[in-house]
Amino acid sequence: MLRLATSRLGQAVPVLFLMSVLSFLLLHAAPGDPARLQAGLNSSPQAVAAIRRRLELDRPLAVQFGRWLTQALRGDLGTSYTSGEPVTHLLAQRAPVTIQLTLVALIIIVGVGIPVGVLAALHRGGLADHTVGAVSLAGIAIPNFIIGLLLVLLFGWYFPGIMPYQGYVSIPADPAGGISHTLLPALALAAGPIAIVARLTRAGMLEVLGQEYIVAARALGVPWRQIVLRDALRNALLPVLTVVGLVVGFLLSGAVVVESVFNIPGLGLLLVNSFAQRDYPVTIGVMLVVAVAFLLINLITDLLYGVLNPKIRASYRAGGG
Amino acid sequence: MTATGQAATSALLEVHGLSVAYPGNSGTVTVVRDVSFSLGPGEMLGVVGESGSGKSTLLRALIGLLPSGGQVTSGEVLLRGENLLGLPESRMRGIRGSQLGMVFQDPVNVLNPSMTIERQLSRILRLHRPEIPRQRRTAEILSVLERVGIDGRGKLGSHPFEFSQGQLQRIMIAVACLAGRPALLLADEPTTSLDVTVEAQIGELLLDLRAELGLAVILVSHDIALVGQLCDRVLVLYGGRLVETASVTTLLAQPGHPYTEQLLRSIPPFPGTGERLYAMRGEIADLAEASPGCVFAPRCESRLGPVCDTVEPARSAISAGHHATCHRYAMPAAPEPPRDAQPITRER
Amino acid sequence: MAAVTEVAPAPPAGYEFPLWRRLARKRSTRVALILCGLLILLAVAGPYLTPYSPDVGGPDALAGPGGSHWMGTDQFGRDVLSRLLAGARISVFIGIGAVAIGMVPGSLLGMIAGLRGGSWLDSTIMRVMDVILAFPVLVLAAVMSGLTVGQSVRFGPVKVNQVVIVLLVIGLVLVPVFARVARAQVLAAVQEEYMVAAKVCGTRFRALLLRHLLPNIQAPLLIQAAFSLSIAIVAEAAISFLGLGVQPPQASWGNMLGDAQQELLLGAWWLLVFPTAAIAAATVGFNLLGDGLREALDPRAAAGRLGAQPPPTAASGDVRPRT
Repeated sequence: MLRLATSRLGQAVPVLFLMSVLSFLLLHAAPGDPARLQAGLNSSPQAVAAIRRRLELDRPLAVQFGRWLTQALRGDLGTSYTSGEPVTHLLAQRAPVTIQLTLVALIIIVGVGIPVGVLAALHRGGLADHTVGAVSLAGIAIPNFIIGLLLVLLFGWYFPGIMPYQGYVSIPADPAGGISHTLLPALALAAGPIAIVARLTRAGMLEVLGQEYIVAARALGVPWRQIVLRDALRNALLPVLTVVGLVVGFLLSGAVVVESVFNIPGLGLLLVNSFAQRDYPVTIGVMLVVAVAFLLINLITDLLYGVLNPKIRASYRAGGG
Repeated sequence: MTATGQAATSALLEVHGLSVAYPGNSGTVTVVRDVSFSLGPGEMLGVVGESGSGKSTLLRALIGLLPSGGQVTSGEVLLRGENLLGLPESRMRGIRGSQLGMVFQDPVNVLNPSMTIERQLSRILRLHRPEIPRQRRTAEILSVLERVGIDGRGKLGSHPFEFSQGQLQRIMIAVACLAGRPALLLADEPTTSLDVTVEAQIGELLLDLRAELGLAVILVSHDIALVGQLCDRVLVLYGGRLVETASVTTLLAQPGHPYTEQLLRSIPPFPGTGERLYAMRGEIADLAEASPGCVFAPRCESRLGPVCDTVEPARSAISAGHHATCHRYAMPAAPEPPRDAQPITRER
Repeated sequence: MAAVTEVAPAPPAGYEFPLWRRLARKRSTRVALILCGLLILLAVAGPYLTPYSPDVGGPDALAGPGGSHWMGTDQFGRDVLSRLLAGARISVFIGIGAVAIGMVPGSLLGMIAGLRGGSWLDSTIMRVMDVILAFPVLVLAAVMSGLTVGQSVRFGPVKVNQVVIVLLVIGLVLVPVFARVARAQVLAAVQEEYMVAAKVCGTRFRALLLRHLLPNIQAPLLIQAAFSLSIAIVAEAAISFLGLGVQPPQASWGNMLGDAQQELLLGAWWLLVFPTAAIAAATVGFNLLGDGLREALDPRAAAGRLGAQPPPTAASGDVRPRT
């Protein structure tokens, strides 16, 4: 298990390195001059040159990258061109916002998607089953940010005052306010993945419930409830788990857009705003954080999969790959 | 024909006129039709027939676990005089595992792949023998496993895939027979997916357990040789109908039904005897096509004439304990006797 | 896990019906074909149908649907229906272009990696693909497209507008998706008995590749293409919604939604509802088409086995199981 974790982390290092080289090159090759943007439209060439020197944009690209990388390895991602704040500072400030949003969405997805999927499988062709079919089609058809816009229209114009539809309140600081502020954006984010998780759970349950060992457990007099919850669900959730990593990736990329819809000052909004100002260090910082988060989540998913799947666990025990 | 179970005192299990149907593309298909038999305590009863003859469905109906869609359309199943059909699921659940055990064809899929052997056994013990205290459960599991010939020490934490097929079948038998101590074991082709040598061991194990526990067994198999070795009595199913009932010795020596005759001839001869392999012609009956006559008529090599295609034969006694469902044995005064049904000739 | 590896005959070559007739057998696929056909028709004919100029405002701003403007007007007085039709063209152009850009090099790279499975070439190609896949699809596309917003970009003598940039960026992001599908298919196909048989029979390498390999791996690629079309259309909408994609005044479904956002609190529902309906119709159409293709081309996968899914991407509803 540990070996798998370390080897996967080892694989992540070259990926991260290549990724930072690429993003660095890309950003600097992109049109638009951050120094000019900083200086303002009517500034003199001298002022622009001075800013460029200050930001060290006049040095060769390799030097700039080397400098950035050595600093990055020491945990310093540079300072924002616009605000002058350290990038790590900004990231530390914004990341909890996005994490709160993503976590609430994930709770909704798991808390609704799995039970609904189980119900749909147990009552095949029943109400829950048909609802899953209809909702999942809608969840797939309408992208999350549009669901967000629809929610804003609903609660901002048609039923104002019921639910807050703008801004961010931290749940640890103010639980009630935090949850009510996070609920709508989290719902918008969760709608698509709920459908995915419910359908996967349903398919997994149907497959598992058709297995011989379920009939055998019944033939031994094991209560149906126990069979569903302990025998079937656990085995049915294995394929669901493999998509949880993907779902979190989906949530992360969705958060970028949904944060814009609900005006939530998270990493997504930071990223979008950093383009407008050509604030390279911030852009690279956000991308790095997102990539690291994405890699970590996939790693955790793999490890969890191993924990739940005894066949793989046994191969760890035996010291196999 | 469905005699109500008043005489159900000595028999462990009595089945009267059991029929099972599935919804098909055009109406329902009856896959088990009007099957009746009884079974005494400690008796080993074989059920033989080709795949599709309804023998597995029959077993599933007895324990109330028909695959989805399947329904018992008529009949009763009396276990110690209590009709299992129509019992509420909660009551039926209590009977499963404690009075009725079941083992299956492919042991690999029969134990939950993601649960350790210990947990699977201990929950059955907890369920059916709550009197065993928790601390003693592991010891009980070990002794139960030992009785089916498995040394469980150090293996209780293993998952099913870490055992061989033969071991798994032993474990399954241990779970089904010893954990809950049922009086009747339903065995659905328990050796079909095993190697020949392992097959013999499992057969022996079943005989041992019967001797030791007084366990009655219904052994479903398409392997007549195995049934001949292990069982006391045999039911022959064809197309969902019970075509013959006999003791093993009678059945092998004097088969009463043309299907049984042909089935026995289909057993590959031992090499060197000079006999030729016999292949039964035709395909197993398509139950969706209802024919008014005998189900076996299209493949029968001993047809009596048009009566076979038009009138369904009734069950007739050949001797004590030996019944067959064939016009051969029909009395001349049978209702609506077609003209040429009388002569009991084997070849037309 | 029930790893059902039953008899695995190679199915695609030689069915009794042509593809379109097999597709048309299922009702949902017929709906999909109609939706996709309609979308492409509108994309082609749209500019000749628009009642107003899509980019130029008129006198009445924020007029509700009805009368002379069937779908109302936006805050600049532009006709929503006209913009929707112009946007259809953009969406279809970007969708088809991006999928082509992702599919052709992606499949080639994947096939090469698969045929040289385990070699340095394989690991190099797939590692680069991993780098691209290390980002959520949408974030990467948004970043790359965002880099060029408001700037003119030249590739040598060719000046490229933002629409093409968005197309290229989404296409690039799709490359690893197709590479993975192709590689997995090739790795599996090389093991199959028909490949071994063909080799044993002394079939030449080119024939092996084109006549035996390609026909047997094209089905999953085609299925992936259908799903990718909807991914691309949604990605364009999201990027342009953020203001990082197609720039105003040029209309796209995405930046129409961006305009709608500013007027939502004034209750201008028509600015939101019509583009939403258009996007929903397009995604449903291509997703159902993908499902239909999967069923028609790969009966084993259609049976609902989880193992036979196209590799999922984070961008869209690609991760759906068949039920």
